[in-house]
Amino acid sequence: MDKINEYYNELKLGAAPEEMAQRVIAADKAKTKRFCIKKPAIIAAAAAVVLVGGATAAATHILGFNQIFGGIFHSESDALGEKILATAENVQYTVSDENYAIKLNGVTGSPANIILNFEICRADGLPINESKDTFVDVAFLDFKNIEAGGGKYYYEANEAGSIDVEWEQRIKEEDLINGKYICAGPMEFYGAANFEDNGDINMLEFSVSFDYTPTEESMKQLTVADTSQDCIIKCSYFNEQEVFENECDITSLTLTNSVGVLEADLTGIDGSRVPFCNLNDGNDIKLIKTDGTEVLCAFSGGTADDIHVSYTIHYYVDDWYCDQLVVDLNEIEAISINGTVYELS
Amino acid sequence: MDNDQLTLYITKYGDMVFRVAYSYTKNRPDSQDIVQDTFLRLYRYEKPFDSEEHTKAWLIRTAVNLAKNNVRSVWVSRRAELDESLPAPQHSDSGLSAAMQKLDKKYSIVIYLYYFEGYSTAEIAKLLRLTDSNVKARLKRGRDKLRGFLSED
Repeated sequence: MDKINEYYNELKLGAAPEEMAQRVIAADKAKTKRFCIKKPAIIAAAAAVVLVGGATAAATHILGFNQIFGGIFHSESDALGEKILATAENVQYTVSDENYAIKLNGVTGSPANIILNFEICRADGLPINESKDTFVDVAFLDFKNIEAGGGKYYYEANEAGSIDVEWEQRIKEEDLINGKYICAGPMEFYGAANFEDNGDINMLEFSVSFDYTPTEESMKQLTVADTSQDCIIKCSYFNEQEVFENECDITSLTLTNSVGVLEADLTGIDGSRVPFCNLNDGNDIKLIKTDGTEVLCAFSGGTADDIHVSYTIHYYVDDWYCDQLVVDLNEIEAISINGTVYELS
Repeated sequence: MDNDQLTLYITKYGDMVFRVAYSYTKNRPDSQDIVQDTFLRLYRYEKPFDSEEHTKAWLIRTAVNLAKNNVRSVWVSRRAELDESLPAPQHSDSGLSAAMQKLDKKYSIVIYLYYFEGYSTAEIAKLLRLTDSNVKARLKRGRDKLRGFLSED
Protein backbone atom coordinates (compact mmCIF):
# COMPACT_ATOMS: atom_id res chain seq x y z
CA MET A 1 0.00 0.00 0.00
CA ASP A 2 2.96 2.35 -0.42
CA LYS A 3 1.40 3.46 -3.66
CA ILE A 4 -1.80 4.32 -1.83
CA ASN A 5 0.17 6.53 0.55
CA GLU A 6 1.94 8.11 -2.37
CA TYR A 7 -1.41 8.79 -4.05
CA TYR A 8 -2.78 10.55 -0.98
CA ASN A 9 0.42 12.43 -0.34
CA GLU A 10 0.00 13.96 -3.76
CA LEU A 11 -3.67 14.79 -3.17
CA LYS A 12 -3.63 18.16 -1.48
CA LEU A 13 -5.98 21.03 -0.83
CA GLY A 14 -4.22 23.29 -3.31
CA ALA A 15 -4.89 26.49 -1.42
CA ALA A 16 -2.68 28.18 1.14
CA PRO A 17 -4.03 27.83 4.69
CA GLU A 18 -4.02 31.60 5.15
CA GLU A 19 -6.09 32.04 2.01
CA MET A 20 -8.57 29.35 3.06
CA ALA A 21 -8.82 30.90 6.53
CA GLN A 22 -9.66 34.25 4.99
CA ARG A 23 -12.33 32.65 2.84
CA VAL A 24 -13.83 30.98 5.89
CA ILE A 25 -13.87 34.17 7.92
CA ALA A 26 -15.27 36.17 5.02
CA ALA A 27 -18.00 33.57 4.59
CA ASP A 28 -18.84 33.79 8.23
CA LYS A 29 -19.04 37.60 8.29
CA ALA A 30 -20.92 38.05 5.04
CA LYS A 31 -23.57 35.43 5.63
CA THR A 32 -24.49 35.68 9.25
CA LYS A 33 -27.54 37.36 10.51
CA ARG A 34 -28.25 36.18 13.98
CA PHE A 35 -31.48 36.57 15.74
CA CYS A 36 -32.69 36.00 19.20
CA ILE A 37 -35.89 34.40 20.18
CA LYS A 38 -38.49 36.60 21.67
CA LYS A 39 -41.27 34.74 23.32
CA PRO A 40 -43.16 32.31 21.15
CA ALA A 41 -46.27 33.90 19.81
CA ILE A 42 -49.49 32.11 20.53
CA ILE A 43 -50.83 30.03 17.71
CA ALA A 44 -53.80 32.31 17.12
CA ALA A 45 -51.51 35.24 16.64
CA ALA A 46 -49.36 33.19 14.29
CA ALA A 47 -52.42 32.30 12.27
CA ALA A 48 -53.26 35.97 11.95
CA VAL A 49 -49.77 36.62 10.65
CA VAL A 50 -49.77 33.92 8.06
CA LEU A 51 -53.14 34.83 6.67
CA VAL A 52 -52.13 38.37 5.85
CA GLY A 53 -51.41 38.86 2.23
CA GLY A 54 -53.45 35.88 1.11
CA ALA A 55 -50.60 33.43 1.17
CA THR A 56 -52.85 30.41 0.87
CA ALA A 57 -51.41 29.34 -2.42
CA ALA A 58 -47.98 28.81 -0.92
CA ALA A 59 -49.44 27.25 2.21
CA THR A 60 -51.17 24.38 0.48
CA HIS A 61 -48.21 22.72 -1.13
CA ILE A 62 -46.49 19.78 0.44
CA LEU A 63 -43.18 18.14 -0.23
CA GLY A 64 -43.44 16.84 -3.77
CA PHE A 65 -40.99 13.98 -3.64
CA ASN A 66 -42.41 12.55 -0.46
CA GLN A 67 -45.86 12.49 -1.93
CA ILE A 68 -44.80 11.17 -5.27
CA PHE A 69 -43.16 8.18 -3.76
CA GLY A 70 -45.88 7.71 -1.20
CA GLY A 71 -43.55 7.31 1.71
CA ILE A 72 -43.53 8.68 5.17
CA PHE A 73 -40.04 9.51 6.17
CA HIS A 74 -38.71 7.62 9.09
CA SER A 75 -35.58 5.88 10.09
CA GLU A 76 -35.23 2.34 11.30
CA SER A 77 -31.80 2.88 12.68
CA ASP A 78 -29.21 5.55 13.03
CA ALA A 79 -27.03 4.27 10.24
CA LEU A 80 -29.96 3.66 7.97
CA GLY A 81 -31.36 7.05 8.72
CA GLU A 82 -28.49 8.69 6.98
CA LYS A 83 -29.51 7.16 3.72
CA ILE A 84 -33.10 6.21 3.90
CA LEU A 85 -35.67 8.84 3.75
CA ALA A 86 -38.83 7.05 2.97
CA THR A 87 -40.49 3.70 3.25
CA ALA A 88 -42.88 2.57 0.61
CA GLU A 89 -46.24 1.11 1.47
CA ASN A 90 -47.95 -2.18 0.66
CA VAL A 91 -44.71 -3.85 -0.26
CA GLN A 92 -45.12 -7.25 -1.87
CA TYR A 93 -42.52 -9.57 -3.24
CA THR A 94 -42.13 -12.91 -4.95
CA VAL A 95 -39.11 -15.18 -4.83
CA SER A 96 -38.14 -18.27 -6.73
CA ASP A 97 -36.99 -19.93 -3.50
CA GLU A 98 -39.31 -19.72 -0.52
CA ASN A 99 -36.37 -19.94 1.84
CA TYR A 100 -35.64 -16.33 0.99
CA ALA A 101 -37.41 -13.03 1.43
CA ILE A 102 -36.99 -9.48 0.25
CA LYS A 103 -37.34 -6.62 2.65
CA LEU A 104 -37.71 -3.14 1.22
CA ASN A 105 -36.16 -0.67 3.61
CA GLY A 106 -36.51 2.57 1.81
CA VAL A 107 -37.12 4.62 -1.25
CA THR A 108 -35.38 7.88 -1.66
CA GLY A 109 -33.53 9.89 -4.23
CA SER A 110 -34.93 12.74 -6.20
CA PRO A 111 -37.74 13.22 -8.66
CA ALA A 112 -35.54 11.93 -11.45
CA ASN A 113 -33.32 9.54 -9.61
CA ILE A 114 -34.57 6.64 -7.51
CA ILE A 115 -32.52 5.10 -4.76
CA LEU A 116 -33.85 1.85 -3.37
CA ASN A 117 -32.58 0.14 -0.27
CA PHE A 118 -33.61 -3.44 0.22
CA GLU A 119 -32.41 -6.62 1.88
CA ILE A 120 -32.10 -10.14 0.60
CA CYS A 121 -32.60 -12.31 3.63
CA ARG A 122 -33.63 -15.76 4.69
CA ALA A 123 -37.28 -16.22 5.48
CA ASP A 124 -36.39 -17.96 8.74
CA GLY A 125 -34.24 -15.04 9.81
CA LEU A 126 -31.01 -16.99 9.94
CA PRO A 127 -27.83 -15.47 8.57
CA ILE A 128 -27.56 -16.42 4.94
CA ASN A 129 -24.11 -17.89 5.06
CA GLU A 130 -25.02 -20.15 7.96
CA SER A 131 -27.34 -22.02 5.69
CA LYS A 132 -26.10 -24.40 3.03
CA ASP A 133 -26.03 -21.55 0.51
CA THR A 134 -23.28 -19.01 0.21
CA PHE A 135 -24.18 -15.66 -1.23
CA VAL A 136 -22.12 -14.81 -4.30
CA ASP A 137 -23.46 -11.63 -5.84
CA VAL A 138 -26.46 -9.70 -7.08
CA ALA A 139 -26.74 -10.63 -10.73
CA PHE A 140 -28.97 -7.86 -12.04
CA LEU A 141 -31.68 -5.41 -11.14
CA ASP A 142 -34.21 -3.72 -13.36
CA PHE A 143 -37.56 -2.01 -13.23
CA LYS A 144 -40.64 -3.55 -14.75
CA ASN A 145 -42.58 -0.40 -15.38
CA ILE A 146 -40.04 2.40 -15.49
CA GLU A 147 -37.77 3.35 -18.31
CA ALA A 148 -34.49 3.66 -16.53
CA GLY A 149 -31.30 5.34 -17.59
CA GLY A 150 -27.91 4.80 -16.03
CA GLY A 151 -27.77 3.13 -12.67
CA LYS A 152 -25.55 1.35 -10.22
CA TYR A 153 -26.00 -0.88 -7.21
CA TYR A 154 -23.95 -1.98 -4.27
CA TYR A 155 -24.40 -4.83 -1.89
CA GLU A 156 -22.82 -6.08 1.26
CA ALA A 157 -23.55 -8.36 4.14
CA ASN A 158 -25.01 -6.71 7.19
CA GLU A 159 -24.71 -7.64 10.82
CA ALA A 160 -27.70 -9.94 10.66
CA GLY A 161 -26.11 -11.91 7.86
CA SER A 162 -28.53 -10.61 5.23
CA ILE A 163 -27.49 -8.76 2.14
CA ASP A 164 -28.08 -5.02 2.03
CA VAL A 165 -28.52 -3.68 -1.47
CA GLU A 166 -28.47 -0.05 -2.41
CA TRP A 167 -29.62 0.66 -5.96
CA GLU A 168 -29.51 4.08 -7.54
CA GLN A 169 -31.25 4.49 -10.85
CA ARG A 170 -31.78 7.47 -13.06
CA ILE A 171 -35.19 7.78 -14.66
CA LYS A 172 -35.17 8.40 -18.38
CA GLU A 173 -36.31 11.80 -19.42
CA GLU A 174 -39.19 10.51 -21.47
CA ASP A 175 -40.75 9.20 -18.28
CA LEU A 176 -40.39 12.48 -16.53
CA ILE A 177 -43.08 15.09 -16.52
CA ASN A 178 -41.58 18.47 -15.94
CA GLY A 179 -38.61 16.91 -14.27
CA LYS A 180 -40.56 14.52 -12.06
CA TYR A 181 -41.47 10.88 -12.37
CA ILE A 182 -45.14 10.17 -11.92
CA CYS A 183 -46.38 6.61 -12.00
CA ALA A 184 -50.04 5.84 -11.71
CA GLY A 185 -49.61 2.34 -10.31
CA PRO A 186 -47.25 0.30 -8.18
CA MET A 187 -43.56 0.64 -8.72
CA GLU A 188 -42.13 -2.76 -9.58
CA PHE A 189 -38.61 -4.02 -9.86
CA TYR A 190 -37.06 -7.43 -10.26
CA GLY A 191 -33.67 -9.00 -10.07
CA ALA A 192 -31.63 -12.02 -9.21
CA ALA A 193 -28.93 -13.02 -6.78
CA ASN A 194 -26.50 -15.90 -7.11
CA PHE A 195 -25.86 -18.38 -4.36
CA GLU A 196 -23.37 -21.20 -4.28
CA ASP A 197 -24.04 -24.65 -2.91
CA ASN A 198 -21.10 -27.03 -3.09
CA GLY A 199 -19.84 -25.50 -6.27
CA ASP A 200 -23.23 -25.23 -7.93
CA ILE A 201 -24.53 -21.73 -8.59
CA ASN A 202 -28.20 -21.31 -7.88
CA MET A 203 -30.00 -18.17 -8.90
CA LEU A 204 -32.61 -16.61 -6.68
CA GLU A 205 -35.03 -14.58 -8.73
CA PHE A 206 -37.20 -12.00 -7.03
CA SER A 207 -39.61 -9.24 -7.82
CA VAL A 208 -40.89 -6.47 -5.61
CA SER A 209 -43.76 -4.08 -5.92
CA PHE A 210 -44.90 -1.30 -3.70
CA ASP A 211 -47.65 1.22 -3.87
CA TYR A 212 -47.46 4.87 -4.15
CA THR A 213 -50.13 7.17 -5.33
CA PRO A 214 -49.55 10.76 -6.27
CA THR A 215 -51.64 12.91 -4.06
CA GLU A 216 -53.72 15.66 -5.47
CA GLU A 217 -51.24 18.11 -4.04
CA SER A 218 -48.28 16.45 -5.69
CA MET A 219 -50.07 16.28 -8.99
CA LYS A 220 -50.33 20.01 -8.77
CA GLN A 221 -46.62 20.10 -8.48
CA LEU A 222 -45.87 19.24 -12.05
CA THR A 223 -43.39 21.98 -12.06
CA VAL A 224 -40.16 22.93 -13.59
CA ALA A 225 -37.26 23.19 -11.25
CA ASP A 226 -36.32 26.80 -10.84
CA THR A 227 -32.66 26.90 -11.64
CA SER A 228 -32.44 30.65 -11.82
CA GLN A 229 -31.74 31.04 -8.14
CA ASP A 230 -28.45 30.30 -6.58
CA CYS A 231 -29.21 29.69 -2.99
CA ILE A 232 -29.97 26.53 -1.13
CA ILE A 233 -31.50 26.44 2.26
CA LYS A 234 -30.42 23.96 4.84
CA CYS A 235 -31.78 23.26 8.23
CA SER A 236 -29.92 21.78 11.13
CA TYR A 237 -31.09 21.01 14.56
CA PHE A 238 -29.57 19.61 17.64
CA ASN A 239 -30.84 16.42 19.17
CA GLU A 240 -29.67 15.96 22.70
CA GLN A 241 -30.43 12.30 22.65
CA GLU A 242 -28.05 11.76 19.76
CA VAL A 243 -30.45 9.24 18.38
CA PHE A 244 -32.16 9.51 15.08
CA GLU A 245 -35.82 9.28 15.99
CA ASN A 246 -38.99 10.19 14.26
CA GLU A 247 -39.41 13.29 16.30
CA CYS A 248 -37.04 15.14 18.48
CA ASP A 249 -36.92 18.25 20.55
CA ILE A 250 -35.16 21.04 18.84
CA THR A 251 -32.75 23.05 20.86
CA SER A 252 -31.27 24.98 18.00
CA LEU A 253 -32.23 25.71 14.47
CA THR A 254 -30.16 27.07 11.65
CA LEU A 255 -31.36 28.06 8.25
CA THR A 256 -28.71 28.89 5.73
CA ASN A 257 -28.58 30.08 2.18
CA SER A 258 -26.22 32.14 0.16
CA VAL A 259 -27.84 35.29 1.41
CA GLY A 260 -27.43 34.68 5.04
CA VAL A 261 -27.79 32.48 8.06
CA LEU A 262 -30.57 32.54 10.59
CA GLU A 263 -29.79 30.88 13.87
CA ALA A 264 -31.94 30.36 16.85
CA ASP A 265 -31.21 28.97 20.26
CA LEU A 266 -34.39 27.21 21.22
CA THR A 267 -33.07 25.85 24.51
CA GLY A 268 -35.83 25.78 27.02
CA ILE A 269 -38.55 26.18 24.45
CA ASP A 270 -40.97 23.38 25.09
CA GLY A 271 -43.05 21.75 22.46
CA SER A 272 -40.64 22.46 19.64
CA ARG A 273 -41.09 19.23 17.88
CA VAL A 274 -40.48 18.70 14.26
CA PRO A 275 -40.86 15.38 12.57
CA PHE A 276 -37.96 14.39 10.48
CA CYS A 277 -39.47 14.76 7.13
CA ASN A 278 -43.17 14.17 7.10
CA LEU A 279 -44.73 17.48 6.47
CA ASN A 280 -48.39 18.18 6.15
CA ASP A 281 -50.50 21.15 6.93
CA GLY A 282 -50.14 21.92 10.57
CA ASN A 283 -46.97 19.93 10.84
CA ASP A 284 -44.40 22.00 9.10
CA ILE A 285 -41.86 24.71 9.01
CA LYS A 286 -42.72 28.07 7.55
CA LEU A 287 -40.76 31.19 7.06
CA ILE A 288 -42.81 34.30 7.63
CA LYS A 289 -41.84 37.33 5.63
CA THR A 290 -42.06 40.91 6.77
CA ASP A 291 -45.05 41.47 4.50
CA GLY A 292 -46.86 38.64 6.25
CA THR A 293 -46.68 36.16 3.41
CA GLU A 294 -45.81 32.65 4.28
CA VAL A 295 -43.19 30.44 2.74
CA LEU A 296 -43.82 26.77 3.21
CA CYS A 297 -40.75 24.64 3.39
CA ALA A 298 -40.24 20.93 3.34
CA PHE A 299 -37.42 18.67 4.30
CA SER A 300 -35.57 16.27 2.17
CA GLY A 301 -32.30 14.51 2.48
CA GLY A 302 -30.66 14.12 5.76
CA THR A 303 -27.40 13.20 7.31
CA ALA A 304 -26.66 12.68 10.92
CA ASP A 305 -23.67 12.63 13.09
CA ASP A 306 -23.74 12.19 16.78
CA ILE A 307 -24.72 15.77 17.40
CA HIS A 308 -26.45 17.39 14.50
CA VAL A 309 -28.94 16.29 11.96
CA SER A 310 -28.98 18.29 8.78
CA TYR A 311 -31.58 18.49 6.10
CA THR A 312 -32.15 20.45 2.98
CA ILE A 313 -35.28 22.52 2.97
CA HIS A 314 -37.12 23.10 -0.26
CA TYR A 315 -39.40 25.93 -0.86
CA TYR A 316 -42.61 26.06 -2.85
CA VAL A 317 -44.28 29.07 -4.31
CA ASP A 318 -47.59 28.51 -6.02
CA ASP A 319 -46.99 25.87 -8.66
CA TRP A 320 -43.29 26.33 -8.80
CA TYR A 321 -41.10 23.77 -7.19
CA CYS A 322 -37.95 25.48 -6.10
CA ASP A 323 -35.05 23.63 -4.74
CA GLN A 324 -33.57 26.87 -3.72
CA LEU A 325 -34.87 29.65 -1.63
CA VAL A 326 -35.92 32.59 -3.69
CA VAL A 327 -36.67 34.87 -0.81
CA ASP A 328 -33.99 36.96 0.74
CA LEU A 329 -33.48 35.76 4.25
CA ASN A 330 -33.25 39.39 5.27
CA GLU A 331 -36.96 39.58 4.51
CA ILE A 332 -37.77 36.89 7.03
CA GLU A 333 -39.15 38.12 10.29
CA ALA A 334 -40.11 34.83 11.96
CA ILE A 335 -40.01 31.07 11.73
CA SER A 336 -43.05 28.99 12.43
CA ILE A 337 -42.50 25.42 13.55
CA ASN A 338 -45.62 23.34 13.92
CA GLY A 339 -47.65 26.40 14.58
CA THR A 340 -45.34 27.97 17.09
CA VAL A 341 -43.82 31.17 15.81
CA TYR A 342 -40.37 32.29 16.76
CA GLU A 343 -39.90 35.92 15.94
CA LEU A 344 -36.82 37.58 14.67
CA SER A 345 -35.50 40.39 16.79
CA MET B 1 -11.49 31.28 17.54
CA ASP B 2 -9.23 33.84 15.95
CA ASN B 3 -7.65 33.97 12.52
CA ASP B 4 -4.36 32.49 13.69
CA GLN B 5 -5.98 29.53 15.38
CA LEU B 6 -8.13 28.85 12.34
CA THR B 7 -5.09 29.05 10.07
CA LEU B 8 -3.29 26.62 12.34
CA TYR B 9 -6.13 24.12 12.11
CA ILE B 10 -6.27 24.45 8.34
CA THR B 11 -2.51 23.99 8.10
CA LYS B 12 -2.73 20.88 10.18
CA TYR B 13 -5.91 19.34 8.83
CA GLY B 14 -6.72 21.06 5.55
CA ASP B 15 -5.25 18.36 3.35
CA MET B 16 -6.91 15.65 5.42
CA VAL B 17 -10.34 17.25 5.10
CA PHE B 18 -9.74 17.72 1.38
CA ARG B 19 -8.89 14.04 0.96
CA VAL B 20 -12.00 12.99 2.88
CA ALA B 21 -14.12 15.22 0.66
CA TYR B 22 -12.37 14.05 -2.49
CA SER B 23 -13.10 10.44 -1.57
CA TYR B 24 -16.76 11.30 -2.08
CA THR B 25 -16.82 13.97 -4.73
CA LYS B 26 -13.87 12.92 -6.91
CA ASN B 27 -13.50 16.52 -8.01
CA ARG B 28 -11.50 19.45 -6.77
CA PRO B 29 -14.03 22.34 -6.81
CA ASP B 30 -16.66 20.50 -4.76
CA SER B 31 -13.98 19.19 -2.43
CA GLN B 32 -12.64 22.69 -1.80
CA ASP B 33 -16.15 23.93 -1.07
CA ILE B 34 -16.55 21.16 1.45
CA VAL B 35 -13.23 22.07 3.04
CA GLN B 36 -14.40 25.67 3.37
CA ASP B 37 -17.74 24.60 4.84
CA THR B 38 -16.08 22.22 7.26
CA PHE B 39 -13.73 24.83 8.63
CA LEU B 40 -16.54 27.38 8.71
CA ARG B 41 -18.36 25.02 11.03
CA LEU B 42 -15.22 24.59 13.08
CA TYR B 43 -14.84 28.35 13.25
CA ARG B 44 -18.35 28.65 14.62
CA TYR B 45 -18.14 25.65 16.92
CA GLU B 46 -18.22 26.83 20.49
CA LYS B 47 -17.68 23.70 22.52
CA PRO B 48 -14.09 22.84 23.48
CA PHE B 49 -12.53 19.67 22.15
CA ASP B 50 -11.10 17.15 24.57
CA SER B 51 -7.97 16.48 22.54
CA GLU B 52 -6.37 16.74 19.13
CA GLU B 53 -7.80 13.35 18.29
CA HIS B 54 -11.26 14.61 19.18
CA THR B 55 -10.77 17.61 16.92
CA LYS B 56 -9.56 15.45 14.08
CA ALA B 57 -12.47 13.03 14.44
CA TRP B 58 -14.93 15.95 14.52
CA LEU B 59 -13.46 17.35 11.32
CA ILE B 60 -13.64 13.98 9.58
CA ARG B 61 -17.25 13.40 10.61
CA THR B 62 -18.28 16.89 9.57
CA ALA B 63 -16.52 16.60 6.22
CA VAL B 64 -18.11 13.20 5.60
CA ASN B 65 -21.57 14.59 6.32
CA LEU B 66 -21.06 17.60 4.10
CA ALA B 67 -19.63 15.44 1.35
CA LYS B 68 -22.57 13.06 1.54
CA ASN B 69 -24.97 15.97 1.25
CA ASN B 70 -23.06 17.27 -1.72
CA VAL B 71 -23.05 13.97 -3.52
CA ARG B 72 -26.63 13.06 -2.64
CA SER B 73 -28.19 16.29 -3.65
CA VAL B 74 -29.26 16.22 -7.25
CA TRP B 75 -30.54 19.70 -6.73
CA VAL B 76 -27.03 21.07 -6.56
CA SER B 77 -27.55 22.14 -10.10
CA ARG B 78 -24.55 24.29 -10.48
CA ARG B 79 -21.03 23.35 -9.63
CA ALA B 80 -18.38 25.94 -9.04
CA GLU B 81 -16.76 26.82 -12.28
CA LEU B 82 -13.54 24.95 -12.59
CA ASP B 83 -10.92 27.36 -11.47
CA GLU B 84 -8.52 27.33 -14.37
CA SER B 85 -5.74 28.54 -12.12
CA LEU B 86 -6.01 25.37 -10.06
CA PRO B 87 -4.37 22.42 -11.69
CA ALA B 88 -6.14 19.11 -11.59
CA PRO B 89 -4.55 16.74 -9.09
CA GLN B 90 -1.42 15.37 -10.71
CA HIS B 91 -0.31 11.93 -9.68
CA SER B 92 2.89 10.20 -10.49
CA ASP B 93 1.06 6.89 -10.93
CA SER B 94 -1.66 7.64 -13.45
CA GLY B 95 -2.88 4.04 -13.37
CA LEU B 96 -3.50 4.08 -9.65
CA SER B 97 -4.97 7.55 -9.90
CA ALA B 98 -7.47 6.39 -12.51
CA ALA B 99 -8.30 3.35 -10.41
CA MET B 100 -8.85 5.46 -7.28
CA GLN B 101 -11.06 7.78 -9.31
CA LYS B 102 -13.21 4.82 -10.30
CA LEU B 103 -13.41 3.44 -6.81
CA ASP B 104 -16.77 4.01 -5.19
CA LYS B 105 -16.83 6.51 -2.34
CA LYS B 106 -17.86 3.92 0.22
CA TYR B 107 -14.61 2.06 -0.41
CA SER B 108 -12.29 4.98 -1.02
CA ILE B 109 -13.09 6.64 2.29
CA VAL B 110 -12.34 3.52 4.38
CA ILE B 111 -9.17 2.87 2.39
CA TYR B 112 -8.04 6.43 3.01
CA LEU B 113 -8.81 6.36 6.72
CA TYR B 114 -7.27 2.92 7.26
CA TYR B 115 -4.13 3.04 5.16
CA PHE B 116 -3.26 6.69 5.15
CA GLU B 117 -4.64 8.06 8.40
CA GLY B 118 -3.92 4.83 10.29
CA TYR B 119 -7.32 4.41 11.96
CA SER B 120 -8.36 0.97 13.11
CA THR B 121 -11.48 -0.61 11.69
CA ALA B 122 -13.22 0.00 14.99
CA GLU B 123 -12.31 3.68 14.90
CA ILE B 124 -13.43 3.99 11.28
CA ALA B 125 -16.70 2.31 12.18
CA LYS B 126 -17.31 4.95 14.80
CA LEU B 127 -16.36 7.79 12.49
CA LEU B 128 -18.58 6.64 9.66
CA ARG B 129 -21.36 5.18 11.82
CA LEU B 130 -20.87 1.71 10.44
CA THR B 131 -20.28 -1.62 12.10
CA ASP B 132 -16.78 -2.97 12.40
CA SER B 133 -17.66 -5.85 10.10
CA ASN B 134 -18.98 -3.43 7.49
CA VAL B 135 -15.71 -1.54 7.55
CA LYS B 136 -13.72 -4.73 7.17
CA ALA B 137 -15.93 -5.87 4.33
CA ARG B 138 -15.58 -2.52 2.56
CA LEU B 139 -11.80 -2.58 3.01
CA LYS B 140 -11.60 -5.99 1.46
CA ARG B 141 -13.95 -5.13 -1.40
CA GLY B 142 -12.18 -1.85 -1.97
CA ARG B 143 -8.83 -3.59 -2.25
CA ASP B 144 -10.29 -6.24 -4.55
CA LYS B 145 -11.83 -3.61 -6.78
CA LEU B 146 -8.62 -1.64 -6.94
CA ARG B 147 -6.73 -4.75 -7.95
CA GLY B 148 -9.34 -5.41 -10.58
CA PHE B 149 -9.13 -1.88 -11.97
CA LEU B 150 -5.35 -1.99 -12.02
CA SER B 151 -5.24 -5.34 -13.75
CA GLU B 152 -7.52 -4.01 -16.50
CA ASP B 153 -4.76 -1.60 -17.57
